[in-house]
Amino acid sequence: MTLAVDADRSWLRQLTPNFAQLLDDMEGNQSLYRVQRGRYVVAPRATSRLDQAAPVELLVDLALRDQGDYYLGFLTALIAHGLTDLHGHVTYAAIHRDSTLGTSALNLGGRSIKLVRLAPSRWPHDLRERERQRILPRTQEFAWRSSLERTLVDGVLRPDLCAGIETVVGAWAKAQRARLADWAAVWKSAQACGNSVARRAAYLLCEIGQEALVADDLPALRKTRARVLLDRSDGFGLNDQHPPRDPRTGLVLNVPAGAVSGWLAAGGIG
Amino acid sequence: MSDDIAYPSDDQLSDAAADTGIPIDVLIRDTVRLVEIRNLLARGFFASDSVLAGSMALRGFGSPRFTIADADFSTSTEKATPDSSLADLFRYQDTWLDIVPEGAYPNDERATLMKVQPIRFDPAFSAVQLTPGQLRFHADVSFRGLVKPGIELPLVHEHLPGLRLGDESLAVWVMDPAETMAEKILGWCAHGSVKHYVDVAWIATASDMPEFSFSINYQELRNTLGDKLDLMRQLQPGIYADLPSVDAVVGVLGKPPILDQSQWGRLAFLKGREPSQVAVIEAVSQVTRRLRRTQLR
Repeated sequence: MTLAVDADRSWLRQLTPNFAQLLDDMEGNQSLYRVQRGRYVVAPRATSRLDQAAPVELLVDLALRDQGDYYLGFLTALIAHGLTDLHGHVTYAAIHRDSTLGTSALNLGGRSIKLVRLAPSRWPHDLRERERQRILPRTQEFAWRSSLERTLVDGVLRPDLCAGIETVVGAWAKAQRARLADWAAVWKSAQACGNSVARRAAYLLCEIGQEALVADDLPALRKTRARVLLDRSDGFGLNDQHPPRDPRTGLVLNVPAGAVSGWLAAGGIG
Repeated sequence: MSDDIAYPSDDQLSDAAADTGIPIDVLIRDTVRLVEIRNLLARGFFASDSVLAGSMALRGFGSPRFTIADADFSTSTEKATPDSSLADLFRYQDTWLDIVPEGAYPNDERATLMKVQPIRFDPAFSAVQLTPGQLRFHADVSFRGLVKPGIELPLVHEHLPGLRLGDESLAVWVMDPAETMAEKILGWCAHGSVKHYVDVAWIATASDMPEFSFSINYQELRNTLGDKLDLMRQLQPGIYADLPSVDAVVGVLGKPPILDQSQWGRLAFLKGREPSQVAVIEAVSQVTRRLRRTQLR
């Protein structure tokens, strides 16, 4: 259970007018863990430290729930959806570009949170792209997280926030092999994010055997003149070396030759 | 069913998380995976032709690289027929831990790799608050055949003070280091996965150091690489089409690697034991040079 003084002031005042002292005392005897100014986690039984008392998702929700829309995304969501075997020392949360939060990073109980500001055109357009997830069984604590489909799209939007393009392609392969994704929803979500994201998604959909979904749209995608990289972060540094283009989408394949098929095969595709 | 296991306390886990840089939920899952290995040992899964493989096996040799959610096993094709009863082997329960595998599924049409997933667990030994996603792991069991007998190693878990797996001399059959290295070389050359490249470097470096308990004979490595390559070319001809021979593999291994810096930065190591990129590339170059000096039998 969590406690935010701003939201919980009225019932705290009913307990005691001097609730600040009460909270200090409870923090002192480890009945509460302080996460931020005015924000606490009520100590579950038998815990003695904040890292035992709350998953980081709960801390993020506690910090952001009153600050406008947000969602846990990128590598954090890839891990949560079981699409990668990596773990993250940084937790990623997307917020609106015009959010009034005056920072791009938070430290919550020693855990690093990176806030990713998304332009309106990149923010989830469909309500189903953000899911309200129960964080802990048998509690009323929830956090917003990108759906599995949106998480796959965010991978091609910002591979640098997803541990690199190898992890992203591996996640697409895993979702395909285990039949986890609604690929039509992935395609719709990618198209809503603009031409660059759509071309990257179309390329990967073709590579995993979902070409039928995008076949009608490929001619229009190819017509676009803009030079779009498969790996927007250019993690391999190949952009300056005239990498080849994918003939179906016109995408610039700035990864080592054969890399995508190798990563897909490692994930059980091909 | 065994109650002679002592589990780490939550404060020990918190301290270990701070010392190793590995999050506390990952350490709990790792505790569970180690108990699972002990369970498989007790059930007679392990033998010289049925071994622990992958990164958890490498940790047995002392590797600092850490994965979070999987455990790899490899068994010879003669050892067992893959079927769904495989999942039953993974069932475990004691007073403080309940491990429940939900099923085993083939990862390919020929069922040469079975995935046991999800394997859910209820860690009553800990009060740490975990999300549903943190309360599961999976296991890959390969039936693609071992080309060398495994070797027996003590089960290492120094990063988890407080964990006692009963018999202190607990040893587990692990894939031979030369075969592990051959798998890692093919993993890099055929799939381009940077984790395999790093593991090749670590095996090569550690095998030359007296504090580690194994060494690599490069003639033997070349022969093992040939046997593994033959096997994989039959199983995945498309993927291995550009790797018709060991010399072709060595040729790819010897090329200067193009590494994705984002990917590199996300590989997890025990704190303070992260290798430098320069050292890793040099170690793999040395493997290439040594392999070139050998002859295929």
